[in-house]
Amino acid sequence: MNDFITLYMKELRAQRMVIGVLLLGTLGLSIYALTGLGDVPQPRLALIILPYASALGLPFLLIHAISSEWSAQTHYQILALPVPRWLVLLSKVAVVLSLGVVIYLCSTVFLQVIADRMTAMMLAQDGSGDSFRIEPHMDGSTVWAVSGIVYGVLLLPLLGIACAASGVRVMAQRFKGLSTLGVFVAGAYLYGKLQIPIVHALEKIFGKWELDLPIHHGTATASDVHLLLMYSVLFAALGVGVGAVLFEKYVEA
Amino acid sequence: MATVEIIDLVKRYRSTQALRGIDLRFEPGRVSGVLGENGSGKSTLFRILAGVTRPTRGSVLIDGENVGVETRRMSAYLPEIDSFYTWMSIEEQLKFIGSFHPGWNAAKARELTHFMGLDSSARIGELSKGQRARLKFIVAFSWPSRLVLMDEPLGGIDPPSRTRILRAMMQEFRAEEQTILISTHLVNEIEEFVDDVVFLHDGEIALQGNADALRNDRGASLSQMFEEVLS
Repeated sequence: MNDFITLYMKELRAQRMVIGVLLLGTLGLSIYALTGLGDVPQPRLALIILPYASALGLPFLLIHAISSEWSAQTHYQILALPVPRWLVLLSKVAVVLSLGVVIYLCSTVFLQVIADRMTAMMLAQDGSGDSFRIEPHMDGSTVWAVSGIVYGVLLLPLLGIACAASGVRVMAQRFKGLSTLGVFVAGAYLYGKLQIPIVHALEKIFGKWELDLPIHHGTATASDVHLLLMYSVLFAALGVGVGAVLFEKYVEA
Repeated sequence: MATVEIIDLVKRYRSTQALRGIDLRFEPGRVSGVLGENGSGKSTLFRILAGVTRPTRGSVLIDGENVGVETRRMSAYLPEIDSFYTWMSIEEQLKFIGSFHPGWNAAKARELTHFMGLDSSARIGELSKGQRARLKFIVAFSWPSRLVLMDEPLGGIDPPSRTRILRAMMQEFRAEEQTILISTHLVNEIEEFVDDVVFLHDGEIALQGNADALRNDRGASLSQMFEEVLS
């Protein structure tokens, strides 16, 4: 555990510039969107969604974190440490995942503040004082659940695929870029192909959720979004597992 | 038991064969010079012993164990290439490596840093090549590893300091029973420090043995043997 924490802290510091830029960008966009909230919702409010798109970039940060050890030739040091190689990979995954969580928390806090203020504005216009009449009705739990599930469903499979791609990159003697692209395409195809059968299987075990969708409040809908999130977690775990095994077995200086 | 036992070690890269089935033993507490010109397989041999490169074939045992996490725990490997994190300070780099080795002696690391004339708060990226080479010695001798693997450790260090540093490492800072392997093509610089030598040529052992015995038998210095054997 100590070795993992040491590697994690090292990686956190190694990527501090990227992390700082992403966090400042997230904060900046959120504050900009928040200050645009006037009497009428402004188009700049859409910017609050942008930090969630970082889910698309974080897997590449993982690949960069690994390949930068090779480009800086620090892989001689890291591979000579008395730790299993998969632990090195896992520490990098953990840093990227932590950053993803912080971006999610930061963005969603602002999103909820904006949602609350918009609801208050619409309530004032409506004049009835009944927040349930307001559509879209966005209470706190809905904002956090929906954004969390969408973000997780987007980020986790990509992170798993990036992990597997990192493993394939260390295994490939040539055409590393092409093999990375190949893993991403194959991974995306596999994710789509397995989604229906696995979500159905999970449904048999866990059942569906009764969920009030924010757009149509009051209509309880049977939803499988939590199953999609579970499937994404499983898919990510599979990707991390494949990456870890390949890393352990094939990585060398 | 030998500290290092190598049997039929082969390493093949795509189009080149770096090691061609070598057998070697390095005994505990001895200082061995692994000598050879560029491309003779010295660095590949050290990388395999350090566990950062996998052999194509053959067996490598360190203290009776196959190369892996446990053998990496007892080996200090200093590659020829600068593998330090340039954004770390000397102190941070030493602390990072030391945290993986329970026997790490922080006081000795400070003493060595002082001996090498380095400022522990200096950022590694701002050090000269020679200062980074000195840092490698600090990393190697700040803990009582069973095996020290120093691949071309003298590169970048000014000639007048080389002997002074090597002498201090061997006489003052080296732990007891520490087996040391030094690879170099600067044979005259290490001549007085090595107990045994291995001459590698094109991935094969050209000559090996006890340094004194070889000098007596051949009536030549190691530098002269280096010229003869590898010509």
